[in-house]
Order: sequence, then structure tokens, then C-alpha cells
Amino acid sequence: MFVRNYGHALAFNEINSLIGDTHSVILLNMFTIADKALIAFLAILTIFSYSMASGGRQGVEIRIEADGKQVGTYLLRKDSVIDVKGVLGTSKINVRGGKASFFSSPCRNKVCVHQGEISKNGQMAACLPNRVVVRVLGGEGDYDAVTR
Amino acid sequence: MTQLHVERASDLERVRRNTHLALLVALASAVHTIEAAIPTPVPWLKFGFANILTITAISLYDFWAGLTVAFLRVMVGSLILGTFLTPSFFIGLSGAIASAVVMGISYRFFKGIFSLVGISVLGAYASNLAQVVTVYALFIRHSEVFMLLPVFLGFGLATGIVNGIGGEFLVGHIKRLPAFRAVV
Repeated sequence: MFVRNYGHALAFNEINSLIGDTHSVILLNMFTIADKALIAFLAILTIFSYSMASGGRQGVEIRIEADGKQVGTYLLRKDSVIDVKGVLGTSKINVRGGKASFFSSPCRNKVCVHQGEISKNGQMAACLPNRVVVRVLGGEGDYDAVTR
Repeated sequence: MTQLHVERASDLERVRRNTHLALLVALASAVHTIEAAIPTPVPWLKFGFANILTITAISLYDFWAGLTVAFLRVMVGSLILGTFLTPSFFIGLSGAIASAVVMGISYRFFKGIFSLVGISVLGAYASNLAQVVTVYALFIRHSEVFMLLPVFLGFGLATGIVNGIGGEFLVGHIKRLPAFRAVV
């Protein structure tokens, strides 16, 4: 009769006597409209956050290599312009707003400059003629894992 | 005469409340302990059936009753399991307290809107969120931890619904018992 009161009003033995065709109805009637709305909202939120999490994560720093040797690592959250001496000349790497990109490079095709910005963990930008490689890293934590 | 009578009634009320809370804590500790034997993919990912007793305390009494049951349950449970002051203790404690606080507040303000199922789902989300934040803050200081969040929240939705249904049944049953009649 009253949608909300089923759970309160019925004792276990009464519910047991009703088990059968009406059992699932009792369970469903326990939920109010607000409950269903909340559950639907949270389910959507969870699915959305799942797709967000699996879509790549913002990196913490970039590592720059020139001619196979590591030049250095730079934090993505600090805006800066980094000059890197490569085989052909100096490549300028621009770090801005958590994203890194080749600003200029002495190569011919400028593929690296046109590649645009990288910011997600594991992404890479490279100027192959100048042999400059930029990689986004996740940064190091204090621990990898903790056991109990 | 009248004053004495009121005093006795309030004493009775207090004793009754303490006895009922002690019963709920004992039950919750037992559930907490037994539940630790059920294997789950991630050590601190639990069904949280003990939360049924927290919901019951909040529903029968108030916010503080729920917090008491949640806090003491984790304490007693960890002492039985031998995990007192270990990482899993802190993770469990943060989750239990967060869910008790959220459920207590939401029960107070949304009592007529949500059934115990909705309250329980909110509590489960709060618990899992608090646990992941605790893991990040105290143990694994690596943002990778938050990648686990969707899994935790999805799991929390399921356990929250199940625990809420359990809570509705338990409260419905308890309210019919003579010993609890004065409470409701």
C-alpha cells in the first residue's frame, strides 16, 4: 500500500510467507523515487569517471633526450622554455599550462612543431632530424605499493 | 514524586540506549570479523556488511549512535583480527567514520526522501572515497591510486544497495521487537 513502509512493516516470517511472485516487488518497492534517481546518477558518474581514468592521466614531468643522452627532467606544472642542443642546432621546447610542445626546431619539415602539445603520461614528441626526444612521465612516488 | 519518576524514565532511556548500542557494536564487530575471511580482489575492498548495523543505529537513534557503532566496530574488529594500527586498520577506520558521518547527516536531512537504501549508497560512496584518499595520503603517495576510484565506486554502489536493503529489513524487524518498542 505505502511504498516506503514495506521494509519496516513486515517481519521476516511474514516476508517469507510472501516469497514467490511478490518477493521482487517488495524489494523494488523499498526504493523511493529519490533512491532510484540517486543510484542512476551515481552509476552514470561512476561510468564517466571510469572512462576518464582509463583515458590517460596527466603527466607530472617531461624528460628530454638529445642524441640519446638525457638532458634533464622538467616539471610540467612550471611554465618554461627549454633550449636543447641537438645534432642540427637548438630546439626550443615550450612548457605551458601543464603541456609541452616543440616551439621551434632547426629541422626542415617541422613535424615536431606541428605535432602539437603533449601532456598525458607516456606521450612522446620527437624531432628526429635534430635527435631530440621529449617524453611525458608520471613522476615517482615514495612507494610502489604497500603490503599488509 | 513526579520529578523522581521523570528522572527514572530518563535513566531507563539512557540504559536502554547504551544496551542497544552495545548489542549493535557486538553484532557489527562479529560481522566485521567474519567478513575479513571473505577474499576480495583488493585487500581493503570489502562488502561492508557491518555498515548495516551502523545504518540501524542511525535509524533507531541518531548520528552519534551511528558514529559510536562504526568507531567501536573497527576498534574491536581490528583487535580481534590483529590488524590494530596497521594500514588496513586506518583505511577501514577512515571509511567507517566517513560513511557514518555522511549517513548520519543525510538521514537527518533526507529521511523522508531517501529510504535506507539511498542513505546506505551515499555512505558506501563516502567510505570508498575516504579509503582511497587515506591510501593516497598515508601509504601510496602516487596519483595512480586514484585510477582505482571508479572500480571502488562501482563496487560501492552494489554493496551500498545490498546493505541498504539489509538495513531496511533489520530495522523493520527490530521495530517489531518488544525490547525496542519504546525507542520507536
